[in-house]
Amino acid sequence: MNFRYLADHLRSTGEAAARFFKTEQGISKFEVEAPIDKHLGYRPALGAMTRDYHHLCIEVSESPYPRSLDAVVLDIVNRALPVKLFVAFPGGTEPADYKQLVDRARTNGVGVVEIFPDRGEVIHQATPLSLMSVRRIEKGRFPLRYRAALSEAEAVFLSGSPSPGCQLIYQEIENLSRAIAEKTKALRLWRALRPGEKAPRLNLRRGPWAKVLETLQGHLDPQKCSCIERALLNRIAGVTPYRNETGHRARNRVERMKRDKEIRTRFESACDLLLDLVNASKPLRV
Amino acid sequence: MQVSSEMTRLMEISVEQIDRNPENPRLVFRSPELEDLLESIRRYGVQVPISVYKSPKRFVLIDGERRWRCCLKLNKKTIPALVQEKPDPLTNLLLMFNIHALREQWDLLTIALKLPRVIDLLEKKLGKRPNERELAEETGLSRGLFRRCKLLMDLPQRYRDELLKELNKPKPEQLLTEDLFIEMERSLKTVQRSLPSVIDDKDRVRQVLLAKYQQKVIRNITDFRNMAKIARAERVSADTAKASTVLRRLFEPNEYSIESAYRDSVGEAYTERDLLTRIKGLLEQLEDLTPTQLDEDMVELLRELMRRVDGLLRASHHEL
Repeated sequence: MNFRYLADHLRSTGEAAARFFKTEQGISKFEVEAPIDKHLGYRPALGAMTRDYHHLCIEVSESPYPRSLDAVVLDIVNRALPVKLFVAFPGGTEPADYKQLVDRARTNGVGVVEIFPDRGEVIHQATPLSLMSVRRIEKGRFPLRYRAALSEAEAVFLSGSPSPGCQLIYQEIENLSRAIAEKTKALRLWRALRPGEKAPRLNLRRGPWAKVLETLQGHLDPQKCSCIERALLNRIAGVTPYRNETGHRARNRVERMKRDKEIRTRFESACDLLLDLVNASKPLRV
Repeated sequence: MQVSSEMTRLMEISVEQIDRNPENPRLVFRSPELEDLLESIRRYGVQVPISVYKSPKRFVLIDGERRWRCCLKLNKKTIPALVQEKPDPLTNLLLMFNIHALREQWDLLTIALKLPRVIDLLEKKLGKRPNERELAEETGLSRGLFRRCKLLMDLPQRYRDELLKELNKPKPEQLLTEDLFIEMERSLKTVQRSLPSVIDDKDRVRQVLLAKYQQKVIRNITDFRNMAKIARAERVSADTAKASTVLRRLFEPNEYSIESAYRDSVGEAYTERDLLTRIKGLLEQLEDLTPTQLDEDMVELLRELMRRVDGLLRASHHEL
């Protein structure tokens, strides 16, 4: 491999890292110290495009996290580039501040791999940096019972599975909206049936979620239950199509960037919606 | 060495059009130092142009390989460069030496490895082997530095390889340093010159001493200076047979340190010589003193000296 920047004594680590990622992720060809984006002020030691159109970037260093990567990560996040960045460092060379460095890498979404001549050990995986700019959930603003689920959703999202992360939030919205429907019905907060109109026979706990919301929108009496506004119910109805969407595979890099941007927004607005719903339903003691 | 300044131009050139100079003596680019430079260039850009010469379609570095490498890493498109005409091979090398003699110093080993090539090219130019003075003039390096490089040049290949590997580490982590080898080689030379019979195999002795250093039996690289002092026992009228015995013991794989060997052989003799030299110096200075030059402090100290010398002489008289 024709390295021009990488120090001589780290070149064997670079070559071993390429072998490791070939075995682990099926990457057959790496570009050496080539740019991944013309506007980005960084060239990784090794770079390749993954099958799901992420740039796999591998930085080879003596340290598990060279501090110069701070600026690189910030630049990539700001540009929302679909990059998975790993640091490969030589096995058996644990620096004194190893733990702090690995923690810093994890916080910044950078994966760390310890490379031995014949194998590699993943200390932790990389997060697609295009997802890293997602607004973190302010868990303190939610009641205690939601916080574990929110933490899990955030962790799943940042681990590189944004759709399942979103689904965990939608799950909470669904559960709460069903409970609101049941409670308002039980408290007789629904409007009276019109002449000839039949009472809805939908199972509010198990029936299709979209139908439950439709029923709630049609029957909740705003005079009797002013806390749940129609606009809020409309917002919830608007997210039902995404409830079970696992996402289609991106067909190219541009599509990947577009999808990542959309899903970040979706995650953030789902969290906002859940918080609004939680606050609105407080008088109902659901 | 002559380079025409008329032909030098400052230009912004493509980073991708530059090749490293195969003659660059600098082999070691330590990562932490490169990282610092990388951060500086990321923030402030390249403040000092690199120097290159034009080869037919590309450019070859004369000075600024680290800046160029950082620009590559930072995905910079261009870099400011002073572009010169292609120099002849000797000028090419001497340019690099002179640039570094006046600025940041390279690792000595990297200079040492390139010196034979400089000497060969200079020999062709001058029609004779260049002496130390000529080499110093041409390369801009001091004669003392050359002597230190020479000690490294003469090391067996495997030690040079080991040292090169060690030089890639950050400076505080380096155990086998250039200074260690220089101090050790200098001392070994003195021992070989003064007591040739104590070194049966120089390479074996090297290995033993390095192992003792790594095991911290020899604690400091300056201890090697005392090894040379042991070999020069004759100069202080110490027992050379004893000096040979301790050196032989020192050159065996055991826990015997230079410090102990020095104490067991010539330590006292050197202390005595040191004391005699100081007393002679003091006497010379006292001769130059006049009573008017004595202030209170001086008078007090001279009286104290007199008391102590007197006590010492009385005690020695009783013993005799």
